[in-house]
Amino acid sequence: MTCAELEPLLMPYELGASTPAERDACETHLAACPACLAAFLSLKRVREDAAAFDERPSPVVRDRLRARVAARSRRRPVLWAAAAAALIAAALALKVLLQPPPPAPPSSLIDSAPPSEDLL
Amino acid sequence: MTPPTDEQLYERARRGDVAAFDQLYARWERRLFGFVLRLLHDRSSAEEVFHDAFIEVLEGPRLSFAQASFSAWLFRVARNACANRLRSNARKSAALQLWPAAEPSPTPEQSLTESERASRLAESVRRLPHALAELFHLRASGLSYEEISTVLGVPLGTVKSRLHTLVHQLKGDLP
Repeated sequence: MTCAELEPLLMPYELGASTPAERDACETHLAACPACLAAFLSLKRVREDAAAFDERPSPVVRDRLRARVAARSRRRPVLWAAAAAALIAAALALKVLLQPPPPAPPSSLIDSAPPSEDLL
Repeated sequence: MTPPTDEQLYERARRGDVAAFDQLYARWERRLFGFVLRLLHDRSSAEEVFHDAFIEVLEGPRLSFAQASFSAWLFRVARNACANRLRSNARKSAALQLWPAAEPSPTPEQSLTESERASRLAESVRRLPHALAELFHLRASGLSYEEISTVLGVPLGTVKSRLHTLVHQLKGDLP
């Protein structure tokens, strides 16, 4: 493959859009041709520059996010305690609800007891 | 010792581990911010979206990594936030409409030096339509085809097809 034939393949190669055959051809040629390798590295630099990866958000953004993460750490024990308290309360409520009612006095005694003389 | 994966750092950061968050943030700060900034063209809006994307992944519903990586989720959340932002303000039309006319092409006699060629390519990238610019920056961020497919919510075949369109367009801008 000549340098002129390789040139149109460099962009797809750099962006990962080559076919396997084109990729092999690029790699073979670039390994043996310093001029094309320089052109390829230049293209790569341009792509990286265009992506603007040297820009960062303000440090304030990171500080705010860090504070939120740290707050999660502090909140967790509180959340666990609240969850445990809620669980205990629910268990107690369930126990009360499921508890059998106290035994009533035998109905025969109530019905058959004669009215007290004192009340009459 | 192998460094922790993004997914491991994410789990630790969600539990309040600030050191894990620092590592995760350092890995993705520039790439995610560069991506968001290039979509929104406004630093202040980009910082808000960037911040909100991190909050969403750290405090929102737990992410599942069965189908997609942490970075794919992070970029997906940021990308959707950018889309909402563009929809909700007047910049949408600026971002989606045609870019300013290209500089006149040099005559065949003009041979471009390497730096001229580089600046023309950078300019071509700046003029890409929104969908292709988005794809360019995702690819430049190091995301795989599969991750880009997750971020954009389109099939893998569509990603490959758009990538070929992108390559064709960028090549067309160069002599």
